[in-house]
Amino acid sequence: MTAAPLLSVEKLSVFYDAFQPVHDVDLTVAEGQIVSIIGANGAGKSSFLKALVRQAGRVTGSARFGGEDLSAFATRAIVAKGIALVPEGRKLFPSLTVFENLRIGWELGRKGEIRYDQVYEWFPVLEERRDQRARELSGGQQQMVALGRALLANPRLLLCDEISLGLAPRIVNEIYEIIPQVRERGVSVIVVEQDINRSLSVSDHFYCFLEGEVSLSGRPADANRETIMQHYFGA
Amino acid sequence: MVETILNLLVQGVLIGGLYALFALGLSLSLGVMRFVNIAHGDMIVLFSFVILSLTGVLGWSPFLVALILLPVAFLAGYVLQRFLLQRTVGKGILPILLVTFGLSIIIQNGLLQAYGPNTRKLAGGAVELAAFNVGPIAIGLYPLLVFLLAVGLIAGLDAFLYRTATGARIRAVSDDPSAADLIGLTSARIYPIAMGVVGVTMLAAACCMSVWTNFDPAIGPSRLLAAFEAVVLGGLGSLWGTLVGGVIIGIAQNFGSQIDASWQILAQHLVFLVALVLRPQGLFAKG
Repeated sequence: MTAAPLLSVEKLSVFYDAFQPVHDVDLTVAEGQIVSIIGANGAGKSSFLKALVRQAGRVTGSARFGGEDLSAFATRAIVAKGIALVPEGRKLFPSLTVFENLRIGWELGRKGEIRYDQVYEWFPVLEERRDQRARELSGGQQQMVALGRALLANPRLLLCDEISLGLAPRIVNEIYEIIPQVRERGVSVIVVEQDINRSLSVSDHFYCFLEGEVSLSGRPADANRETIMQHYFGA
Repeated sequence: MVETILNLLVQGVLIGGLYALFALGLSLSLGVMRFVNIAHGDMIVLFSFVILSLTGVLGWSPFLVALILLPVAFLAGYVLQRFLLQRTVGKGILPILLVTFGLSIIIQNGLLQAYGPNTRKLAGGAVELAAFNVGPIAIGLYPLLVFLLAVGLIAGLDAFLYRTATGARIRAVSDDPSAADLIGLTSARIYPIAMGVVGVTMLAAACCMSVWTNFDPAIGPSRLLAAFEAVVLGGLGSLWGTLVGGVIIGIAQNFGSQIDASWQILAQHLVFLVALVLRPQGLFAKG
């Protein structure tokens, strides 16, 4: 008998009026698992993540987290239950300092073992710049704040939406080095990326989205590059 | 001549404190919550009439009544935002203008029905008449206390917004409401607290105004205009800028009235227009 997955999604669809970016997606994430969702621009990846935290349009289907139906909760309650989103484009609060941005994550989330000192250990530059306004930071540093803010919520499931977008490869490497360390603390992770190699290199399982549907899924080691590219672009 | 100018300046600065009090709540709603409350002046007048009624019933000083009303003012602002104004958040500028314009009409007509059109004034007691001289300049104790109250309130609000966790949350939602929603920091929970604080500043302005000068149910819009000009002059989002804006309006009015009584308000608007042309973002605008 296997343990129930941490996140279990069945036939999830998202609608923005007549537009439907996500179609009948089935997906599971186990405790401590890193799952990547890959797909081209507009494949419905971000809408899927937003649907999990009740920030998408109309959502049908089912999403259960720790056995509870997420549709019964508002975003704030979902964060408190242990799902934290690192949004696409970072979405920091530019006039707030680094520390104030981080503190909001800590206040809204569950209280757990990931504290400020742990985040500063992962991203030392944030401690150096804790009193600097977020708008004064580089893109990479801002991404670290966004990730730190989500981690301080002590999530059981971390949702990372395009965290490498627009960043220098060196910074992306630094950020991706953290993901396995986060998993070691029992946190499950969903990584949404357009960069296939990057996300598959850290994940235990992947889902490829094409026009809002799961076109391919499996373990990265079992899928060859050609098959993935076919399901990525629909060629 | 120098004495007259000095006197005009000092009195202008002191009355600027009253204008800053009028403008403080508007500065918060405009600079932090990003909306114009057309009923701002009328709500101040409403609080003035509430203080008037309670001083009549209880026989207490208006200052004591205002002190006791502080939690009520916070609650009034909180409830107004939570159950009415919040419904317009994220729906553009027009709904909030229409709703608060409607609120303004309701308050004005309600007060007219309840109290009639006559002007009123509250007695502040000995403090109202006390004065002292600094050289050739006579300084009224009450205007000085109002000015100091404005400074104290601004310092308190500044500390609240920039030194507390709740203040940071208010600024976060102000920065980007949709980003705040994404991480579970909803404006529906945060803005009512900010509006509660606005309610407190309105009560302070109402109390100070009703002892300083006459008021009637129809003066709300003129109070709104002065407050609006003070906020824009000082720069959106800057509480200390609002104080400076209020002082500039007070000084302009005093110098204008020296030319002719009819120039008092005209001078205020002229200075505002000139400042708007020269520095449209205000003196201390925060990005």
